[in-house]
Amino acid sequence: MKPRIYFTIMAIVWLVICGLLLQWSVVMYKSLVYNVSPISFALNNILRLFFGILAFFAGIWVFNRGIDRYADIVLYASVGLLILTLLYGRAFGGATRWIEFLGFSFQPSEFVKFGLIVYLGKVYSYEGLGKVSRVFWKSMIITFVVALLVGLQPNISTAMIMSLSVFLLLWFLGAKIFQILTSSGILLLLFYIAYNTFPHVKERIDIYLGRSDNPRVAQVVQSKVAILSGGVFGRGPGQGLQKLGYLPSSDKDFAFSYITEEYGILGFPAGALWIMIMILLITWNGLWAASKIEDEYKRFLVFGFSLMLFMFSYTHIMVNVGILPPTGLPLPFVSYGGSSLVSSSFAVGYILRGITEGYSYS
Amino acid sequence: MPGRNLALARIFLLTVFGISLIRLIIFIVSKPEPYNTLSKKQHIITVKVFGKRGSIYDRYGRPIAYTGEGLALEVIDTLSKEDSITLSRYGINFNRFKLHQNRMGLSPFLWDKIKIMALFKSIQYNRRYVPCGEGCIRLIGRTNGIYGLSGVEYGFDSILAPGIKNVKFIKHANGRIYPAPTSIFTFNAGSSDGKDITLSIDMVLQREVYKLLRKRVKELGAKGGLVIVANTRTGEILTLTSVGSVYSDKMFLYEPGSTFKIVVYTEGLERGLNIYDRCGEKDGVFTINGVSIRDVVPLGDKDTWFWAVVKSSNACASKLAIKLDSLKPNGLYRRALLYGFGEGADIGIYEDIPKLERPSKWSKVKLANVAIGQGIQVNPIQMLRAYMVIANDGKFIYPTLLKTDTPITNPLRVVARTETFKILKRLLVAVVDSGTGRLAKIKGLPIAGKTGTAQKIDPLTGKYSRTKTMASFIGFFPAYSPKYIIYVILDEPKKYRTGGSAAAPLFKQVALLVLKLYEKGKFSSL
Repeated sequence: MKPRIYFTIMAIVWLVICGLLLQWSVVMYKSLVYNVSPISFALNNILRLFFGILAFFAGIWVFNRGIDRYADIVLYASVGLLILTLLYGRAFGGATRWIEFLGFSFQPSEFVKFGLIVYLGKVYSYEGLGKVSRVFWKSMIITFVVALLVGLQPNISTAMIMSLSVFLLLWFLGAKIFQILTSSGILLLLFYIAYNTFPHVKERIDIYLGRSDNPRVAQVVQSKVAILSGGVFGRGPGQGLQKLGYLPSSDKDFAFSYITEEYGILGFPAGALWIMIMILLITWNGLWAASKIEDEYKRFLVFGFSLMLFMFSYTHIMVNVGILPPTGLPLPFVSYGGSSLVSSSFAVGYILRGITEGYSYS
Repeated sequence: MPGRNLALARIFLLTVFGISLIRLIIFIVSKPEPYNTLSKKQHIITVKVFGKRGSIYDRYGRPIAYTGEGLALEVIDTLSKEDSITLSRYGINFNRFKLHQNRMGLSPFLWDKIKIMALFKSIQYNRRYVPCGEGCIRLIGRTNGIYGLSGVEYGFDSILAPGIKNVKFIKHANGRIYPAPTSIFTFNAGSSDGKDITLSIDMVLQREVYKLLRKRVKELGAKGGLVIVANTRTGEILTLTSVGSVYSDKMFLYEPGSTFKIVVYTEGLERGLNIYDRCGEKDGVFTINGVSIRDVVPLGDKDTWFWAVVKSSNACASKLAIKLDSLKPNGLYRRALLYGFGEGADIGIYEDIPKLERPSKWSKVKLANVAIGQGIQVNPIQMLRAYMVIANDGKFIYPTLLKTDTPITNPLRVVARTETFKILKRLLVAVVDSGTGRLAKIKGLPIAGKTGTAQKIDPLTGKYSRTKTMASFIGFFPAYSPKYIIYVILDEPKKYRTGGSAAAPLFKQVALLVLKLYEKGKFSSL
């Protein structure tokens, strides 16, 4: 019996179903308002799912083949994509985050966060030989450079959570206390600089602290209204009202609030608690696998992917619940957005394969 | 990987999970404001749904005014540019609604096409049709689709006005209703419609009388005119129509002129006046306190009270008033009150009620003037009511606009003795037979009538004008068992100025019309 595998698969499928339920609810409304047939939305989702499944198996395949040889290429490609984005990207809502390619538009930052882990794994296992403290500063500097490129889009929230995830990853893998304290000091400093340099970072923090009269305050308020309306069991599938223009991007940045409005905390299947547990379950099993796998590169990647997934998911949730200031981060598998789904699918494919690998070691 | 680090990582995961969950639970349990209120109220829009306004029927059940199927939607205030473009695609010009306080008319057909765009605050039926046409518009009055603004629509609004129902819809953040209701008509069915009323008006007669009146007003170059036809037995008003300056959607005030003389003669007859006695004003000039009351044509040798009535002598009427006042002070005033002057017409149309001044203020000159219907104001229904008293030999019947079989009477009210009315009626018949009202005469039909030529006050000089008159004729027939009463008023006729020459011919035309419509073949001589 290998329960962790089944639980992880269940968690993934569960999250994907939650995503589909959310899309269904929002699409029915959008098709009515914009007078567009829901079929085009459905096709869009099917296409996303198709690419997601491809990416999932790619993750498994990559685990089997090993990607360490191509880690450099992955990093260069990531950095190249980010620079391309800055130069030729499509601007949307004040930020240049998308690249158009063969009629598809995607968000490089979604791929870069996992690309970074792929490269750092190589640094960790080849140069550090399994000792984090040896390559701690190099890893942090590489992370900083990549994060800076992401931050310039500007996509400060992704840059920050990415850096924080790497920092935590290195910490949990055994960085020295001195390194932790110093780097956290530097991170705080960088954060302070970002706060003072980028107007929209300052703005959002101010919104969070209640010091702003920006219309985005409404977003935060409406997110809370959505959760409160949901209560314990929610308004019912498709019955959410916040999608009617009250909660902007209810299928993206505020997917968690919105789905909580429909399903509440305990509602089946997309209740807030279940979503939180499913994400925790994937990460928990990924962690377990990481502790079992003896190949240092694969361990780093499984651990890194799990943590990255967890950090981004829970940042989204905490923003929605009102613990953190508003950011534009999607909830993996649930939010609308192909790039996020594809990269997350790749990551969970890798993690799942890592868990099966973990059983072979134990 | 060392176990210590794994434990650290697990603690981190659980901590983050725990913080999020606890925050979520605290938030949902504590229900803080303003989130709680917003979650309950912000999605709801209350739309006022009005029922259908009641219809107005004429005495034979023909619709005079009714509300059609057209809808009016009150559009939300914040209509975006895109919305107005979309609306214009359906041929609706938003700028036009703005002028009409954001109301738009919408046919059911158009509504089906437009149902995605639910942008309204209230729903009502708005098209009010008045098939009776021009002749009725003033009497029926206007509505704003829901409430009456003038005329009968205003007077009977408490019956006709529809009920309001507040229907709750789910609202989009931009104010639209979501999802758009598939049919407004189903919602409308829920709210109560106004009740119908049946008027005593005969639509056909009204329309035909209106044509006659319009023609006559044009012929005489008058400023306006009014015709009332009523049933003397039931008090039902069959026709109430007007043209030009005279409005029938609001009862106006005017100085009646000689038609008011019935009051002084009633008082005289009650005090024992013999109509064959001489009044003693051969020259037709009666002077009181330096003011002369003149006749148009002096009576000459025929200066009995009988001829004074028939030839409408002002001098005699004034003289009688002064004489009666010395016999019994304030008698004229009391008689006028008994006839119902100074008392509202109460037919459901908005009216100015003229208050009769207290007689202690009446000087002799004033008294002499009041006797001939100058210096006193009445409204047409009051005059009609007074003559109906004569027609019914003293029975006081209230005129009404509603169809009824049993007249509304006041049996306790005694205006004068029956004898007096019999004499008055004979006098009035003589007026038409050989007096001022000769032009109203119809061969073979006894008509009792009275002319009135009131001088109007010239707004420029503030004095009575010699040329501006209010010519009127009021009469009922058949004189000795009256059934119909017709009142004709013409405002400032130019070609002929007196009631006898201007109004009496129109009276005759209307009377012939009434006979043709209602009494076909009953009068052999016709």
